[in-house]
Amino acid sequence: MSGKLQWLRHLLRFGVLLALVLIPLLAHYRIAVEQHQIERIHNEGAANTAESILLVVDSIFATGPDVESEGASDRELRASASAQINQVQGNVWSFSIFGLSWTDLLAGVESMFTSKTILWAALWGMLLPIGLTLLFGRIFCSWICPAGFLFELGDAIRKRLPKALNLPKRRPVWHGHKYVLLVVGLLMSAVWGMPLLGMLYPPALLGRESHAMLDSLFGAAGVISLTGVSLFLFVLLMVEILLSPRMWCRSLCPGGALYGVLGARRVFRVKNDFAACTQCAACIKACPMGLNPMSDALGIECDNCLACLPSCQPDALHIKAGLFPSAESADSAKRSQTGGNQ
Amino acid sequence: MKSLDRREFIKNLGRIGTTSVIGTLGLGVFAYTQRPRSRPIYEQMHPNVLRPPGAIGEQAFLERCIRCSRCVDACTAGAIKIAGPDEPHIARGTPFIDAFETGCVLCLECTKTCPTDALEPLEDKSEVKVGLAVVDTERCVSHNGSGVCGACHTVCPFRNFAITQGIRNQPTVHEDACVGCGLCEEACIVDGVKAIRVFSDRGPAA
Repeated sequence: MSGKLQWLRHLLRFGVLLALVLIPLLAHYRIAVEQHQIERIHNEGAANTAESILLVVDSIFATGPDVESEGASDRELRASASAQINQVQGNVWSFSIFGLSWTDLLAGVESMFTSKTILWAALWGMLLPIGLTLLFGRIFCSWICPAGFLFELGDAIRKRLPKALNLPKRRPVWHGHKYVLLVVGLLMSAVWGMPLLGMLYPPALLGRESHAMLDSLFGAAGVISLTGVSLFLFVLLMVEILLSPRMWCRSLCPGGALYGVLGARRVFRVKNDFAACTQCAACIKACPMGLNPMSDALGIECDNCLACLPSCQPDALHIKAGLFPSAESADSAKRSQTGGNQ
Repeated sequence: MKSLDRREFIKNLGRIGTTSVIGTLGLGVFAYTQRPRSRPIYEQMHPNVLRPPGAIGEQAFLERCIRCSRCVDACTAGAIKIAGPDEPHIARGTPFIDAFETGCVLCLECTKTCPTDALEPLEDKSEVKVGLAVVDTERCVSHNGSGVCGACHTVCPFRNFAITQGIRNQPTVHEDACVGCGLCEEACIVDGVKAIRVFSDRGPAA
């Protein structure tokens, strides 16, 4: 059951990654429909890659009973498709899906720092992530973040690399860097009057880069071009694979720091049943964040990915709901953090 | 145990100090590289930046906009673009309208979707103020006597209010009614730099 949950988690984040490409693609199709270009492409045939992609999308949305005669039903289908596509906008940095609005915590908080005002519109979009984080902690990182998916993939690739490569041992990086980076970044953004952390935050970069890629494909050039953002993400991924897997999520991500701090007193957390625990330490090996689930309370670093649950042979680890962690667990949380640094 | 805690504490203080210094310097350099730079060739065509409808003042806009491109996905005309390496004079990642290519059709979808109110929600087309269209009488074929056109008047959403026509379809723009949508600039038949262009009060460099 728990093993299936991990596949669901990977699938969800892969879906988010896919949506980052699909949403701008559909937006371009919608423009072609609204500007009546799709009929022209239909009649004249696709001239380049972008137009043939539009035709493929069009064959999904507009397959009315009389496609060949270009009847009214075809146009109606396209109009309703356009209205539906308009319900889905944005990327993980900020999106709206069928009236549901989501603005990343870092986006909203940083925007308030740079403009030095309380933005009620942004707060409205942040309601859902704030609520989910108060309940489940950093689940954005483990269940939604597409960059986290890529970095976890990098970790898996490193584990499957042949031993003959003799990769250097995992280089641990102090977990606290991300909190310092968050504070420094917010203050610097306020000083410069422009959001700096949002331009380094991998999930936002992924959304922006896929958007730029499709814009260049559908633009005058007609080919996909990449920007420096792709280079930055590639270098980061290579550093993670070769030197320190999950370094960004564990130690550097300012967004993860913000979600972690807000989810410090989360309701649902992983608890260890000490009576059943055999101290086999399998969960420590399984933890993608390099924590020690055996120490019970996992503090603000745990992102509730639940990867430790299926690894536990005696079935001692469970998700428990509770409003206040006890004093004893707070003590062991301290131990788990220092343990994670080693 | 206690001395170990103390050593750990001092070590952490050192780490915090290092990250603060490196972070401040790194972000400072990064912010400096991201600043808008002038690009003379482009500025000849587009002297200033046109922001989507409902955009608040330029400085406040740059502060509030989170560069999420929701307005781009909402745009029905494909008029809103995101500033990339090709537009170094516009802050990276911010939305702009390139009226030379595509004008705004004033559907106002973008103003409704902005998550931080960098584009304030608008109810009516006439509330939009992207900029102001200006006719270059030396380049306009109706004005300089080389022909009779009237394309800008035909396409104007506030026809006979924002643009009126005189003899031989000579266009005149009226400041109070023009919202600066740029459809006239898109439609203008003059090659190269167009004879009617939209100007805003948003400078090319912040």
